[in-house]
Parts: sequence; structure tokens; C-alpha cells
Amino acid sequence: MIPPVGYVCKIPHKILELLHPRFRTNSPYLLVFLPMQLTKRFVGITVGVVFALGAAYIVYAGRPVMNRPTALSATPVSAAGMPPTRLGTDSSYTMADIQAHSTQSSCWSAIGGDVYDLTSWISRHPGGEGTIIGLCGTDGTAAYTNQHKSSRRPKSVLALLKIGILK
Amino acid sequence: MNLASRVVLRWSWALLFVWFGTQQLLHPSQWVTFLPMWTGYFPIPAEMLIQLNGWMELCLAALLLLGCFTRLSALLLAAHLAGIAVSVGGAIGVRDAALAMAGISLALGEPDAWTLDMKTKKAPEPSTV
Repeated sequence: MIPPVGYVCKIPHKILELLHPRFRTNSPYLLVFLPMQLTKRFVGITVGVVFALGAAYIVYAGRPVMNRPTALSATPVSAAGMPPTRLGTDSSYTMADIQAHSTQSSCWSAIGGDVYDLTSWISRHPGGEGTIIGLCGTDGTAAYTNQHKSSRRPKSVLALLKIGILK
Repeated sequence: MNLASRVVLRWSWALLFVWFGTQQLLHPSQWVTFLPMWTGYFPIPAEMLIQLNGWMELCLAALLLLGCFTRLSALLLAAHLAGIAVSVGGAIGVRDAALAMAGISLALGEPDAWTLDMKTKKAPEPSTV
């Protein structure tokens, strides 16, 4: 049985039927959009290549985001009311800047002389949300050191969240 | 299952992932809360992980829409959704688990006649005996 869409595609379907016996079927939707020589392997490889290129682009384009405040964070404002000149790991912030981000929706903390945006980490912290929320807007060096000492894993996570250094 | 029901199941399931994937690519910060905690140890930011996941879902959904490697792509997406269901839990987990079952049913059945899999399937050799 030819489905209703078949009637819409009837003309290209008939033309392709003449070109190749493979298209003497009841599934015309493919015939309009895909060239005749299209094969499963070709489509699979194409989608695989497109996936690889897209993933590479996401990683490449997202690289600078690694050290930038997340979308959830508010625009950083310095103690003098002026935003920092630029964002990046070498931006410097005062304790007043950090205290301005003391909420769950915008959570900054100073640890070991560096400033971190912990907002996106709150819901993912293996030790629970409360521990991180308690650090928002404060110098969390002591709490971090007491809990993690010199463990490598927390350090690698922190490196991704760093937004600058403490003035 | 007849042809129409299988096509509707395949397309609607693929479109679900097109929507998921598009939203994850465009608004990754809104999806960060769904990430399990252990992904925090991945050496990439949460938003990027969400975008990569969204892109993977879009590509697999494209395969499913075209009907190319239908069973494999349905199985991968179903396993992915089942993993999310277990990780998220609660009402959302139950919903995702039920959706994953729809994918399992796609993976278990023979691809429908409108898939590229069936288009490119070689006809059986005529018996010479």
C-alpha cells in the first residue's frame, strides 16, 4: 500500500523508479531527499564525521568558557562598582567582589589565593550542596584544606572553575 | 506492529532526542543540574559536557530519522536514557525509564520499510536447487 505522502512524491518516485530498480518500493519519502546512490555505510560515515567535527568545534569553542564565570553567575563587579577589565584566570578580585557573590545562584569563593566560581559545582559536589553553599562569598581556604588536603581530584575540578586571583 | 505504528514510534522517538539535543546545545546551563556528581571529575566543564551530550543525541537522532543503523542507534539512545533515568530518579526517572522502553522496543523489532536499513538490504539469493 502506498502511504498518502506517496502521492505527493509520486513524480520523483516514478522518475527514480525508471533509473534504478531499488526504488520500486512503497517508501517514497527517501527518494525525494536522498540521492540514488546513498547507502547505509555512506550515511553512517557522514554522520560519524559530522559528529566528530561538531564535537571538536564544541570543545574548541568552549575552551575559553572553562575559565569564565558560568551563565548563572552575575556580571562581576569590583568593590568600586566597576566591572573587571576582562575575564580570565589572571583577572584579580577583592574580597568585596567575592562577597557580592554569596548566593546559590552566584557563588564565588577564594581558595589558596585564587578565586573560583563554584555556582555550577554546587549541585554536583559529592559531599553535598550544603558544604559548597557555605563557602559562597567567603575565603574557603581553611575548609577546603581541612577536607581535601592535597588530593588531586578536587584540585583538577577547582582548576576548571578558576576565574581569577585574589588581590 | 504495522508499518505506520513503527514509523510513528521511530520518528517521534527521534524527534524527542532532536528536541533534547537542540536544547542542550543552546541552553547548556539549564541542564547542568541533571549531570550526575561523578561527572564533576571529568576534565571538562559541565556546560561543555552537556553540549557534547546534546550533539551526540542529535547525531544519533539523525541516524534514527533516516533509518540508518536503526536498531543500534535506538539501543544506544535507550541505554543512554535508561542511565539518565537511574541517575536522576524520582518522577523524571520513571518517565525516562518508560521512554527508554519505547527505544528498546524499536531496537528489538525489525526496522520498518521506510528505513535506509531496509532500502539497502540485499535481497536473498535465489535458490539454485
